Amino acid sequence: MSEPPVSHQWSPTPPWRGGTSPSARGAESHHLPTGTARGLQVVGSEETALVERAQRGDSSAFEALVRLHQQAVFAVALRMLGDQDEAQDVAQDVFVRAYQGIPAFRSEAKLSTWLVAITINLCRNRRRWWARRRRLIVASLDEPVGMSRAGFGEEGALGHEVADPSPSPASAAAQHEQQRFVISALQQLDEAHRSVVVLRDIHGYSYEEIADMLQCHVGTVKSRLSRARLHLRALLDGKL
Amino acid sequence: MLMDCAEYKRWFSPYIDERLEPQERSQLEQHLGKCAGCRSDLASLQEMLRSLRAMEPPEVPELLPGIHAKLAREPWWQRLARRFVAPWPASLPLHGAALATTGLLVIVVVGLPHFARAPRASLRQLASKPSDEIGERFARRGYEPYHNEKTAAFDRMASPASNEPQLGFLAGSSTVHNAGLTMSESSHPDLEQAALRPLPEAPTIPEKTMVAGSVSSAVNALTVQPADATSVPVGLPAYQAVGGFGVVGGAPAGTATTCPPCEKKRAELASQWEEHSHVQWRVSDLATAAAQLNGWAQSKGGSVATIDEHRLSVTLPEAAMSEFLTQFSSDVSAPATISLDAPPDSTRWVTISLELVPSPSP
Repeated sequence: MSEPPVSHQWSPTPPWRGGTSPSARGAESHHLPTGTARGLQVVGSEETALVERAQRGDSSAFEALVRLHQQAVFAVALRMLGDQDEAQDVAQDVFVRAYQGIPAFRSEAKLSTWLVAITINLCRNRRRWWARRRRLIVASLDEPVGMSRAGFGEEGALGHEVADPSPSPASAAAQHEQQRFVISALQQLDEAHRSVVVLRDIHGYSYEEIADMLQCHVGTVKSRLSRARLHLRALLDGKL
Repeated sequence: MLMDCAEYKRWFSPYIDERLEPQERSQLEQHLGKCAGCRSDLASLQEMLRSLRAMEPPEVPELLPGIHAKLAREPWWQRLARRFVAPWPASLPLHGAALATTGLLVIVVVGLPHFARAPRASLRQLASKPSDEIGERFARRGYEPYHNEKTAAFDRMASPASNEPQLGFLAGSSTVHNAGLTMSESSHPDLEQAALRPLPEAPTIPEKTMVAGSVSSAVNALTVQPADATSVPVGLPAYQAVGGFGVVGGAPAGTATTCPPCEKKRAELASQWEEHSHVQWRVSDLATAAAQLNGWAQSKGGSVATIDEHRLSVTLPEAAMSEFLTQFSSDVSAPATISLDAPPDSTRWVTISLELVPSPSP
């Protein structure tokens, strides 16, 4: 029997593929957020204690919480905004908000969920802010990703590097290139699609956690994710 | 049911995440067995996802300096909103502190949910208007930082030897009290070292409303476990301060409070009382009844506000309302079930007014 033509075909080594073996990174269904510092697995009760101390005004406890969560918050912001400086600024704003809001935080709820929810929110606000000021977020796979600002030079998404046109797959530069490629493509998705892909496929949050963070139903996450993933694949595919 | 490949493609994503219904899953797997195109389509999707998951975490810059800089630029009133009164013992959750009042008045951190002026209805809906949607989702209901200004240190307050119990109704919300108690910077501020300064545009709560024999007794009172109402001296109604509300200490009815903002808040609650119907509960002992209700409400995650020693405003999760009406109401006319406009949702809160009616013991 004749096989239908294959519509999507990855080339064997797309330039954006990571050099690490996927199997080393864990199974299909994973529970730990990926893309975060995996060594920081704080026991639930320890964090609750820190939260409660922070709620009482203990700034050293708050700083400890920042250190525990800044990786995740920054990483989400970076993938959502595609710009290192913007992501850093937003990440700081997230913790400022957290500092202001932590008195009312239910210490038994998960801090990470709350922080990421704030992050998504602030990223969306930041984009709108740029849009209002007619500063476009340049999302192009051909040039470095950055917020195009009048009067400012273009900056790369990661570390302001110049792209190496033919990276060797195993090098750190190639890793950067790959990340940049993906992040660049992500910027072309709409906000809702980008957020579910970033949260699920880069950070590994569950459907329920994502529903909490985005304040929608699990069913919405499910359908958005399907469309988002297919769209992202089409983008990555088309640019190869 | 015949589906084409384009339709099956929409199932790939939930299939990978093991979120398909069993029959959908077997249907898809059956199709995959027959369709090489979909097989490779699925495989390419899986490969993309594996690569995404394998993305290295970016190097995170040090955020703390920037955070501190931003916080330092906060307007003064925002910084104040984060100040807390009194050192909370570690064992007590911030939103609720149970006091045993044995002649001492202690300031309690309180908060008030935002009452919406609901249209005429037998039950008031608690509609909070959070400024921050995200915060609302994770916030404890009924909590807002309480701001209270003191113009004198505790040790200058009237001594407990004075036999004049004061009624202090303390309702906190930033609209009522704009003041803040600035504590020293240590993580366990000692009240005696509290740096007190009057704040501009903030109403001053007169000294008399806050009474403690000494700093240590004030602090000790905070650490006491939920009061046993029977341990309270007769004649001094004692209420537990729970959730966001508290009447601290007590006074015979008719004693005027010396706190204008408290009066205002109480009048506001009282006027809302007139607007909405309330249920009555016949009790033999007001204090015991109030304490019992407080304990129960707290166990349900709700809270009780006192308008005066006879009138309470009870806030509960919707799910607990029927039980409340069964247990704490003598009204035969009170509805046995609550019918609200929207389907029941455990995150919604309802506020009901309750009147305690003293009736002679049998």
